[in-house]
Amino acid sequence: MKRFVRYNLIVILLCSISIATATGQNQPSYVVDRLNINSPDFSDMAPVIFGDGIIFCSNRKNSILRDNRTWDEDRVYNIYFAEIEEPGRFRNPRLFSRELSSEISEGPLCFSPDGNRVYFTRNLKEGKEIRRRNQKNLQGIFIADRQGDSWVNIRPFEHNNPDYNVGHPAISKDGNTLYFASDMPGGKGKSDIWYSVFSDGRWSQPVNAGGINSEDAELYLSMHHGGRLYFSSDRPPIRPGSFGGLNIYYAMVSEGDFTDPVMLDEPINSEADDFAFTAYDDGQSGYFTSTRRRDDDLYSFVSVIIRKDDCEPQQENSFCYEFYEVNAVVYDTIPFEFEWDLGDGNRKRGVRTEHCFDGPGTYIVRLNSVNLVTGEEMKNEATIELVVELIEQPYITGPDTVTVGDMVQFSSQETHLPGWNIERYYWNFGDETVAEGILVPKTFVMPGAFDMQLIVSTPPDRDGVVRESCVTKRVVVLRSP
Amino acid sequence: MVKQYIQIFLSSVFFLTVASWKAGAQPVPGEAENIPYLITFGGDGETSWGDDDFSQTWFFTIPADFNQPFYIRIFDPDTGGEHDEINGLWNTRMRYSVYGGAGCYTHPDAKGIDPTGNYHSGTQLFSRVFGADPARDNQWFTFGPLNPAEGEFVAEFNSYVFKIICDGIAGDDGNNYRYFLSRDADSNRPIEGANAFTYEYTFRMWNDHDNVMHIYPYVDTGCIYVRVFNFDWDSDGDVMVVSEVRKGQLLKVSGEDHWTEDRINVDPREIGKSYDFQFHKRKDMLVGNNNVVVRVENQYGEMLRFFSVPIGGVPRYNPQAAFKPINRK
Repeated sequence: MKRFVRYNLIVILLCSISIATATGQNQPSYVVDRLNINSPDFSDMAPVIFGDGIIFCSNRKNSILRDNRTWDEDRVYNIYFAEIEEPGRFRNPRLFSRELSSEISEGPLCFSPDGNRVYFTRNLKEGKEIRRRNQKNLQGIFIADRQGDSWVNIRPFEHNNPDYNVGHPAISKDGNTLYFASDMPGGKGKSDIWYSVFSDGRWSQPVNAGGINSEDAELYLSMHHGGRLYFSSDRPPIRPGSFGGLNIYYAMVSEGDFTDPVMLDEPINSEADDFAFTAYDDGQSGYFTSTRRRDDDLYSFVSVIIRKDDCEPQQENSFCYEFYEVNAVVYDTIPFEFEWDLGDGNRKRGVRTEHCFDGPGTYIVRLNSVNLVTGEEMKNEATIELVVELIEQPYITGPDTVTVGDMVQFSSQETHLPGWNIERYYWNFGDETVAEGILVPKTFVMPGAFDMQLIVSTPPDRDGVVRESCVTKRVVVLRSP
Repeated sequence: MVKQYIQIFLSSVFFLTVASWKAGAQPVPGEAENIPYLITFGGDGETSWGDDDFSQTWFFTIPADFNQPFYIRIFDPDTGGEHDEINGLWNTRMRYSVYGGAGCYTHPDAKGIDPTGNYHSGTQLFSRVFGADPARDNQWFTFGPLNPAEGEFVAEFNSYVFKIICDGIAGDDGNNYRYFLSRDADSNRPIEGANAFTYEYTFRMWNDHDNVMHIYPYVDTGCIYVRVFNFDWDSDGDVMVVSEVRKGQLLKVSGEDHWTEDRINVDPREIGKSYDFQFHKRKDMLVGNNNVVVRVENQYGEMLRFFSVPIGGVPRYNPQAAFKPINRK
């Protein structure tokens, strides 16, 4: 199997929509599994979630009679659909659409948000021309509309060009911005990400996506509805110990602005080529392509990140209370003056008052009053024995606001769960990364507001019961200045 | 039928409340009220002296199971000499009339606050007119004996009810007096379970700064709010309302010779109990011989009764301190 990325040439451009994975710390966030529909000797790639199954591209042989190849004997790619038979298992693939199949390669595609339009990659030349020796058959984007079970009105994207490749389309959530990969002039590397905006019935001149491009190749775009643009690149990995070949990255996209790309971790990226990533809306599972078993195969991934639905926000131990005279706050008590002896040496006046104690303890709070009409003083009219305690909860100590790229530390040492023999401190940082431990380092790699969770649990008791508790804390991550 | 049942039920509630009070004391004003005298001016008097209508009506309730003769005694019935308030020369005559029998209480005019219509309803049992009479001055005068069965039986109280009216029929002096419902003609011996009430209370204040006077309107079932009227308080300090849940709410007070109205929203916990209206005289100067008239009506315009021994006892405020945690960093 030839590599997809060659110098100055994109052999086949693939596209898909996809979503988040982990930039993990300490723990793998996903488990991956090779799909049962991969063909042993052919290339299967670029999965796209569609209906009850997936659409993907493959150069497998689909006819006993016909075997379409290029002039240099490369097999051409067609678009297939495989229906899910049961979780983790698919029925035999079949050609997705007669209209979208030809003697030339049809490769990665994506659908408009309403599913009624397809943007797909296809060779520009067809017929006898493609069998001429040394013929370069570059790629372009084509568009078709759904009509019942058929795809009609197939037409080229207006910025296709016979002198360079245009492909790997990914469409924005509003359907008006088309992102794609191209080696058109003006780019930064071998292949860059570009985008074009649909307005007044036309697609605007392509704009280079700028900082997310490298001097190497960016390919296999996909857009998740959460605003993440996924792509693959063979740029040299920045982090020590990172992986070779193509790796999957993502950047947040907002009105033409892109955050710095974030590289996904193991086990999705590997030493092999990993590309064409797609996921379901919840981001907890999906598919991608990898050459980790030599040729291009489809893989699924499933999140193993623990995230609790019933995790309460962390409460601060402020030790603050409001004291009030129950009836006096309802009925006029103008002729009275109230004084609260708060039991810690402090006194405050008023029908209601607020006070923060220094810490846990038992405080005898007394209410005194003076009748301003008679001058009568009433000592200890009412007494409260107030037991101030730490709130029983897991407790996250760490900054509320951090900056992208800064390493910070979070601690669970102030957890207050008397009688618990806590065995496990599990951290879900809310950015699809996790960690374990009492003290954990963390570097956020993208801006945003993240609801991190600390989940603590005990080992099973004699009855096999595991006690578990959870808190949530929001961390705001700012862009690097 | 349902209405009748409710009436019986409410009467039972009231009766139980009354029955729970066993203190035998029918001085009017009551002991807990700490009021020196009732006051009624002669019919030719000026309202600015503290009496809006020169007449005052009180009702006595005799428990149904009490079957002994009893007496209604009047202290200082005359208008002259000690205790009373002279205006020029003593020229005032007062008529005290005692009524029983059908309608003495239940006649609509009897429950009014003004001496109009047939407010003398019922069967007149005794009547006596007093002028300035040294023989009666600073003395007790006794009506009786009365047979409890001569009163009007009122199921609401499970009691026989008698009425006594003091009318200032002539003159312009102020008559200060007190009543006592007694088992004895010559001394004050209370009847257990008896009580006394009025719908409009006209009374004399103490002539000092320190005494606090009280009257106790009973808050009946169905009260949502009450309107409180006071007349000719002469801005003599503060009037404060106290209940189990009301530590001390100031009421608007009247000045010279006019009525002032205020409103109290009734707390459900105050139903079936009495308010304590406290009268605190001003401390910076002494207002002498101050008289005041007070009445209270509910949201339907029905008058509340002031019992000389408060139903449910003298209300005591129940202080309640509470707390709640707040989030503050």
